[in-house]
Amino acid sequence: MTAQARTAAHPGEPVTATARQEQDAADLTRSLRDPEHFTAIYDRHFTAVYRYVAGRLGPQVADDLAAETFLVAFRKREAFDPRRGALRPWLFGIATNLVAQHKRDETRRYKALARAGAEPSSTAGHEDRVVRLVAAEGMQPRLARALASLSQAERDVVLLVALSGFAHDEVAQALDIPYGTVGSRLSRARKKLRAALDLEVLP
Amino acid sequence: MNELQMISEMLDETPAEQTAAQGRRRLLSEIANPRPAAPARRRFPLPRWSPGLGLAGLAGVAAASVAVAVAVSGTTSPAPQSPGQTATGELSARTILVAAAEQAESTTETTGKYWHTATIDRHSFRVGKGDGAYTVVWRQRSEGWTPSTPGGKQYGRQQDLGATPATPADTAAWRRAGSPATFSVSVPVGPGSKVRKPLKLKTQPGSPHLSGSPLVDRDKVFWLGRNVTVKDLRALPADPAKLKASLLKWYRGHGTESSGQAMTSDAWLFEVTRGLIVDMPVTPKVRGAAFRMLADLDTVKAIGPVRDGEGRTGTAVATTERTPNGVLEHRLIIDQRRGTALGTQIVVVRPAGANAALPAGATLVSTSVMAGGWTDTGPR
Repeated sequence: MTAQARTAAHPGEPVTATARQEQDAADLTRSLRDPEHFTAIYDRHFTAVYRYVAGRLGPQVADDLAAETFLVAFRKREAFDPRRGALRPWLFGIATNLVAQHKRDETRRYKALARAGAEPSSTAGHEDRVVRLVAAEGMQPRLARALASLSQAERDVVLLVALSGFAHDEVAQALDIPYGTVGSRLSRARKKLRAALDLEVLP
Repeated sequence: MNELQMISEMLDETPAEQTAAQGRRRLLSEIANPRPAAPARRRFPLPRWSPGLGLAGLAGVAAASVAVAVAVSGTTSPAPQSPGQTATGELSARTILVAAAEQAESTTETTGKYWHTATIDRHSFRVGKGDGAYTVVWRQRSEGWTPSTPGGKQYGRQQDLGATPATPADTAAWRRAGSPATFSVSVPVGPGSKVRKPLKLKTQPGSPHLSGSPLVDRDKVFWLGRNVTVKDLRALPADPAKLKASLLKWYRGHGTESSGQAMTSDAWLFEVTRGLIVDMPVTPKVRGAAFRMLADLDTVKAIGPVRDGEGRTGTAVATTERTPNGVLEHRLIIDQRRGTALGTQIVVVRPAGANAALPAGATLVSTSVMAGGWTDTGPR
């Protein structure tokens, strides 16, 4: 990495949402004059964006698209409007738009996970862990298939919440949809997922 | 574990260290050699300076100013003129433009480190409903510093000057509405787009914001049918016919903001030349040739003395455009004494469509040129 001052907190040091938002806004402003400063935003958000994109499209596509998200954001940084929300939802909105251009990869990933869950012995490494956690209960194929059967709009909401821990207002900002729509879309999608899993025994 | 936690477990992926490093390298190379986000079509190549963060509600002067003008301009076709008007109009348009050309050609200039411009843009918006509706004018000041040599940065300073009722009648209607300090209006999301996004205007001016960005391809500074460098601009021919030919090489049958809008070559030439005269660091001889070239266009007619948005008097020539949103007059206001542009205006001659609520003769968008010249001093 470079010798450039990092604005991110030390590893392990908690960063409150407000502090992060302020840092983001300050870094973006600085990047307008000093473009290299945009790397501070990359350093702070890359892992989270990667987890979101890779969760939906798999690591191979994500290697490219997670980085692409920041290139797009960098080019559009002058249009970022802090009065319409924080930088994180804006960034994930860009990522979601890129994900939408790869619907086939997304479906392929869920189908692969459905197969992997059905044949635990054929998986290895990371997926073994998944198998232990989910598929051991025979749920992974159903869960993966249910995800594939959701509409793109439902998946956007579900996965921003599940993979990135977004609150409803952040989802609304990221997807540029009304706050109320987030709740209704999420509860509709969760109902479908639960039905697919047949989860009456869950807490 | 609920279904969302299960999804999170199932889909969990962590980036390899090299993936993060590789992405960072891509970002750094983008920073070192930026590509415009979209093909540059405007008077300024992208990325054009746009408002800093504080001004961001305006989501880009660029977006707003260009979009408002363009949204109301649909397809272009010269409006018919009455025979008498044509004869006298053409004659005096020619007189006005040739006089401006002579004035321009007699001036000398000393170049500097930066080409510096300052403009004040005004946009009219209709707010409120029914009988209570009134027009507000939103003003914005923009300053730009364009380096004369490649490799530097283009700087812009933007300030929201606030929105106020347009006329005493509008002021009265605004008072009846309780003298609101903010106005909710909408602007198209992009040039020619039917999709509109909300924009909040305030009566109070904002503070100025300075921003800078590296030049497109390290040397492109303006848009003149294509992205051009300062060197390109300085090398334009000073002969009207040759200038016309060199500009028309880049005419593709459509408008300057969107390939989806047809535009005649005369209208296109007027639009592009207006940008050249108003914004760009061409030599006085080339500015003279540009005036002479417009003098030869049959579709350019004389308007005569007008006041610009800032109350200064100039002499205007114009082309007329029929659009789904009414008949619009595109004016170039000339400072006759100096042979330079005082500003531009778009006036609704016959309101229709999106402009139906505006009175005939209303100025939709105007730009007043407050400064334009060479300086050795950058932004401070």
